[in-house]
Amino acid sequence: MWDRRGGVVSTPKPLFIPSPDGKGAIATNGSEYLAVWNDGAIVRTVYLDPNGVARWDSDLRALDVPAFPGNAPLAAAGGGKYLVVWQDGKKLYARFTGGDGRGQGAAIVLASDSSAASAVVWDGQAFAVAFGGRVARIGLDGQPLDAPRANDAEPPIETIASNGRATVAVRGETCACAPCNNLRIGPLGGVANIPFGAPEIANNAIYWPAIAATEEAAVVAYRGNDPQLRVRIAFIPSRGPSITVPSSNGIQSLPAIATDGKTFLVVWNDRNPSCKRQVRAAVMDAEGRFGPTVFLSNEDEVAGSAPAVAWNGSEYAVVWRHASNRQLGGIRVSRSGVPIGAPTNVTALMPSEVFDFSIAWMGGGWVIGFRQTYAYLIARVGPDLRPLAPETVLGSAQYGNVAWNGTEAVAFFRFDGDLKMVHIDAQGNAVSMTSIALPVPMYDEPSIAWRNGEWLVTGTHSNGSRLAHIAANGEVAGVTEVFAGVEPWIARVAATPSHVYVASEIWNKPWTIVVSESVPPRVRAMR
Amino acid sequence: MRWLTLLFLAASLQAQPIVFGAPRSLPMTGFAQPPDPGRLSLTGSGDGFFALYGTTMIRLDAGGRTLARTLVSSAADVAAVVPLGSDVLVAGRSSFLVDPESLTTRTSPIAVSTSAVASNGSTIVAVKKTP
Repeated sequence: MWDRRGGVVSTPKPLFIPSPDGKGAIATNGSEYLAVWNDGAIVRTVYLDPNGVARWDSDLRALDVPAFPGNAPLAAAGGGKYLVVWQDGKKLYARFTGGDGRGQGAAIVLASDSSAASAVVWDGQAFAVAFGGRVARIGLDGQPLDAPRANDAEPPIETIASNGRATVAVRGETCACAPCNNLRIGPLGGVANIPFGAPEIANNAIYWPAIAATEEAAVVAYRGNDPQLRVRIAFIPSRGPSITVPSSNGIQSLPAIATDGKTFLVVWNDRNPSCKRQVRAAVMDAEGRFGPTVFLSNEDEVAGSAPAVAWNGSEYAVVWRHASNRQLGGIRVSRSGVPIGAPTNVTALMPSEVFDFSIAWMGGGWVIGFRQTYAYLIARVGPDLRPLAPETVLGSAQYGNVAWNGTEAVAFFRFDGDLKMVHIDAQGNAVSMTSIALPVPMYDEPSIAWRNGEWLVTGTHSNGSRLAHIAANGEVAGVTEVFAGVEPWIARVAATPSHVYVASEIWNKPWTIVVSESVPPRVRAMR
Repeated sequence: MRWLTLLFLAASLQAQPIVFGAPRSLPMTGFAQPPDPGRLSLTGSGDGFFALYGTTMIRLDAGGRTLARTLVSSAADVAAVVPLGSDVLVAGRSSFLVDPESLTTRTSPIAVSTSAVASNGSTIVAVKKTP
């Protein structure tokens, strides 16, 4: 025993218990100590007072365990007790000892396979034991508690730690596809999505914003160009550092995001265990907590294009472009982020490459808008994503988008400064087309949101972004300047009844993303 | 009456021109290269955590974000990493104390081989196998 300065308090004392392999553990309740080790046959404990004096007469206990323990036992203190965890080669056990070091209750079987424990901690309310990639929680009464939420899509837990208030889990990461982290960390029961030991660095290029908003939260998903190549989420207004979506095997890119009005479905390109680019998704709540991730595509590889996602009031649909042919695939996804059915083709095999695709509900199914060379087309599929009719050309375009306002679907597409609006009925028929008479020039992708009876459509110009207010009949109610003095090239909009948010990528280096939020109207301030 | 109120509010909202606040840049942050892999020791420390990962000492916040890190040359043959009051003891053949805030180190005369180590904040106990 030593004091804090390293001065010897007591010289080593033999415990007279054989320990052929020297494997042991020791824990403290902040005053006394409990030492535990295997002696080659059974697990033994000895209780030490604050001065390191062993209480030989009554406190030495041999826990009732089968012979030949395998790995080193572990111990932790909390709640006036110690929990000792050990393995006998067949099962993994835990048993309490009281504050006096005496065994309490029967041994608890944590696992009946060859799982070895990697850590045992007191989280302030219960003991948590990490073993075999899983975690068990044990209450002070010896009863198992609800385990932290399992996340089978995540790599196994390697270890856990607690400071008595927060408990974190460290997971391994497969680095088969690209340079990536060997470990990542996050809250126990959540997604471990923070590269372990990697601090944040500044002046990192960021690009490709995808935006969505509810009355509780507005978020921008984007890609960072840091060595980890991660997709990140930032809140508007800022809630501090951006968060990263769950990682996998390296090289994440090109996010898309949609909301059911409460939570968000974040979709992005990621690498599967075979290092093939696939579409991955996870539900994120308004606090930035992710649910389990899932690979939505299951093919040789998807193209390096951003997937598209939309909500229809009861479920999501996600579409992506195949890498191997000129065709879009898609899948339905439940509100909780679970795929519905299998991936399917949502367009025919097209004669040339497909770009700028988007998807929206149209009442009786889904409409998918996309560009091919310099033409804008729509594909119509049923609620089950099965094609309803051949693809239809709407007009000339460099960019376009489709959207749903709860009553009807529309397509906005643009060639240079010429913006057109097409109404699409519930069966996917293009019923009318209107040339939008914008009073000022607007270019690039028309991002669309419906708010309070009008379409909000974005565009850029030489030194800023603009937002056009367009009535359902195509009349322009006005244009609002959003950014000025910057050179954006993608301006994307999301809206709620009370707020409008615009995010735009900046063309000039260093690549960054600017966001702007509408000032709350006076009617809210008066209440 | 409630419908009338809602209609009034909707009409008021629609009548309000949209005015945007000043644009803000999203944080242009990314993650630095991770440390070279090695043996991991992770322990609670104050409001956050302290880790020794191979030869890198790391201070983390309660969510696991890396707040600071530094290389340490004397991290070989580490037996245990344990909180010691406001410091962290890295116990081994050549032990040292770490201030988890600054990650500065002070040597400690404690020398232990492979063993289990714990501290109640004022004393340090090691249980080890005798030769």
